[in-house]
Amino acid sequence: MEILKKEINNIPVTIIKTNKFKSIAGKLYFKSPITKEKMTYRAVLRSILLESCKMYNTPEKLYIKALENYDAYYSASSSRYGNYHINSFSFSSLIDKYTEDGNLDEVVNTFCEIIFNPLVENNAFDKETFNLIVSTNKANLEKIKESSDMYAERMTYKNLNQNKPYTFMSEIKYLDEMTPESLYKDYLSMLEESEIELVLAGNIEFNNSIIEKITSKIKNNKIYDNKLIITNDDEKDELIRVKDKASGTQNILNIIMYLKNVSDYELNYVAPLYRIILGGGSFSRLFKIIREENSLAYYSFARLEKDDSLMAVMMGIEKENYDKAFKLTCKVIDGMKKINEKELKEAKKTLISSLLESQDSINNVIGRYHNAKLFDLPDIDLFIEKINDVKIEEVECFSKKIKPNLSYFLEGEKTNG
Amino acid sequence: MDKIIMSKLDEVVYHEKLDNGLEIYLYKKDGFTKKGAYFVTKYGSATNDFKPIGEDNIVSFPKGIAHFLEHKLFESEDNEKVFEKFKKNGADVNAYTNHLITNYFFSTTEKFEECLIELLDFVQSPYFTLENVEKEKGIINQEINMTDDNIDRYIFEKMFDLTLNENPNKYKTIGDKENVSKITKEDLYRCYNTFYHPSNMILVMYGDVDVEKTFDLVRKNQESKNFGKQEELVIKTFEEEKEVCTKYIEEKRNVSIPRISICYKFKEQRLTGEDRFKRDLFYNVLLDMKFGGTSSFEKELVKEEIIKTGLSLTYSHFDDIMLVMFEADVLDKDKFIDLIDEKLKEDNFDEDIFELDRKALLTSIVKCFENPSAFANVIINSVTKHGMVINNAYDIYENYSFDEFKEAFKKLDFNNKSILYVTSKED
Repeated sequence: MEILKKEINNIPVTIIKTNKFKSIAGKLYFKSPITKEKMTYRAVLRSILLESCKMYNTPEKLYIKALENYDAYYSASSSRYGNYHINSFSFSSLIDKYTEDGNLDEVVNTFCEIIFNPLVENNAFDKETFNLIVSTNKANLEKIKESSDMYAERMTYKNLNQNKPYTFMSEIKYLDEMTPESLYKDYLSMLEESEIELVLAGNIEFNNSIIEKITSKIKNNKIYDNKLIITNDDEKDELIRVKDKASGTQNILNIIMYLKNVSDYELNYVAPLYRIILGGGSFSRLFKIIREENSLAYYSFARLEKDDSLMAVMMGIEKENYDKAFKLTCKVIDGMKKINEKELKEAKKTLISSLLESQDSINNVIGRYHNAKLFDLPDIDLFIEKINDVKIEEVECFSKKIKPNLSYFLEGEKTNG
Repeated sequence: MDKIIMSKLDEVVYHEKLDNGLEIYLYKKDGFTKKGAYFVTKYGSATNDFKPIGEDNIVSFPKGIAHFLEHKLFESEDNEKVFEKFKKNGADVNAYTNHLITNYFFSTTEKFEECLIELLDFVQSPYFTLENVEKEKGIINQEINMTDDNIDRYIFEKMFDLTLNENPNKYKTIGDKENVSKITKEDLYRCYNTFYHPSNMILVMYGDVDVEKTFDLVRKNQESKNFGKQEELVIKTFEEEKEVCTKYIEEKRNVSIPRISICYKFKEQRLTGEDRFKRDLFYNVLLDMKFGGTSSFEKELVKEEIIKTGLSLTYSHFDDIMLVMFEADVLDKDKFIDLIDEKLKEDNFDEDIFELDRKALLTSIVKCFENPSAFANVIINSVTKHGMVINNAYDIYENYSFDEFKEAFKKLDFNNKSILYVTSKED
């Protein structure tokens, strides 16, 4: 795999050149500073753009066009990364060996129609489509209550400092305020106020006309240099315990830990290894102690939110085991101040293996490249070298900075059976 | 060893049946980093009434025992947890049980051979004790809570219960707390000894590995173990009626918008091989044409305020029984029921759309080979459901005709369906 970079029409374009896949894929990223409203607006924007466009003005017409181009695949995402929001739009197409000539060109034409020529009239998105998408998003937000783990996760973050972007989520109140006009304004802002980047993967060259086709549509490219990672150094060193009730069967315990006064090196190389040892799968300390030795939970894992400087522990437990599970989890976290060589060696193997495995998918190849750029990480080979160089003392030193700051317990209403 | 050539796709699957009956398959894919294997027994949660090996009578086992057994095979006599053994090699190991099979698998980027031997050895070395069986019950109860809390999964499983009468696919794979509490160490060994003989299993491997060396490794590993001769499996058979068990039921659960599910039941001939593959193709094309992206049906339902959000549909099949299930957040239940019925029965198909759907299916076959582990799963499905690797899938899709499709449609009987209507507990 070869990484080739060039700026075309003021847009940074990267080609990850490889013959490994039977497809060619591309992703266009729009990055801009996060705001509270943006999470809601951009989620709707993502859906409405994928629904139809001027040239294919119903979802059925757009779908038929994709089928005509050998089931071309279009998708979009809306995510927050620390202090930024990123909307991304993707396409993938079979290589011409398996299609008629010019199929890729057609696929990219449709891709451009989706992003740059939406179904808009009088500076407003099509009302009918808008109402449909907003109503679906609203129903989906209401339905979060139906799922204990999703509800618990949302409420856990809601109990953190409301000024921090990790508490910003899609909200019904913003959907209620939104209009086809205000959404169109936000769409223009996405096009004009974003840092834009195009990443392609597959057997493709810079002289391929699809690159000009995409980049020539972009008028502005902003550069943002604010720090991506949110710091929690200013957060209080206290433990808040919250108990909540819901009508599901599950009882869920989530614990949040601030990663305070940690360096970029620790976040990028030490924290992922710490997470694996603590709760990264079926051989972690949490799995071993909480599930296997004490039968307290069916699942119990740790999650690293590097961009938010947070570590989370999540588990499903029996109601009567809450105190025991909480105390034991705190003990497991405290016990991380001492780890052994075997644990570290195995965590490194796990991390490296999952990174290498992910490169067998064309979308992950693009995703990893972009992620590395966001977090200023080196290429895979050097990254692996640096992971292999992490020392036991570094993980133990990192562990000493971590303790539970929020415990959120969602109590279910009944016991099944 | 023989080669199964995947027609028109420049792809090969290596295959061999060992002396002990184990069928092994390898999909070699150069240039890919991820390697792995699936070790599958053709024993899932729907096989609950059978004659245990060495016994004279058919026994009914507690529901959920196949899944329980899957959990317990991760125990080992040397006290080193199975997970630890794979962890040493940076590999992931896991397993799942469904109605038809139990599947143990790993993936790795290095030390494939060591992991492969670990997989074969841990699945073929059961170690159940009174203590570790009792301990597992708490963990399974947590899993039951978790699945019961998931309304989508609850409805999906409930529809099997409503549509099926005698067929054991009626019951949940995980079982329930009452049944799980009855499972004993002895029961686990009886099930294990009956269904984990190599002749009832398949091993499917994938990745950039040496074919000869890998096959030799598996041969030697299996030759070093003594499995004895497998007795004939005697499994209680159930003749499922074409009528559903329950036509209509209302329930109150944790939903914010009322939910409806309609499940149509079709009784067909028992088929295997390409015939069965073609029948699945028919149902997939049928649902795509009527309810897929080329149809505005779903959008109309939302626009007319008959449903709130999207319409989801699934197709399941158990031997001679096909189930087509629809589910939605519903605002007008009666209209929804009528419109689904009307839409399903419509016979005015558009040949152009049929051709486009066929094109998409052909693409899906090509794309499948971009992901070796996904293709390994296609092999598992093919062998356990169709009894063989369908190596001419591309040709079957390419030659599937519009007339053939319309003929199959004419034979459908839409008169058997179950309906579940779920409203909020707070209403």
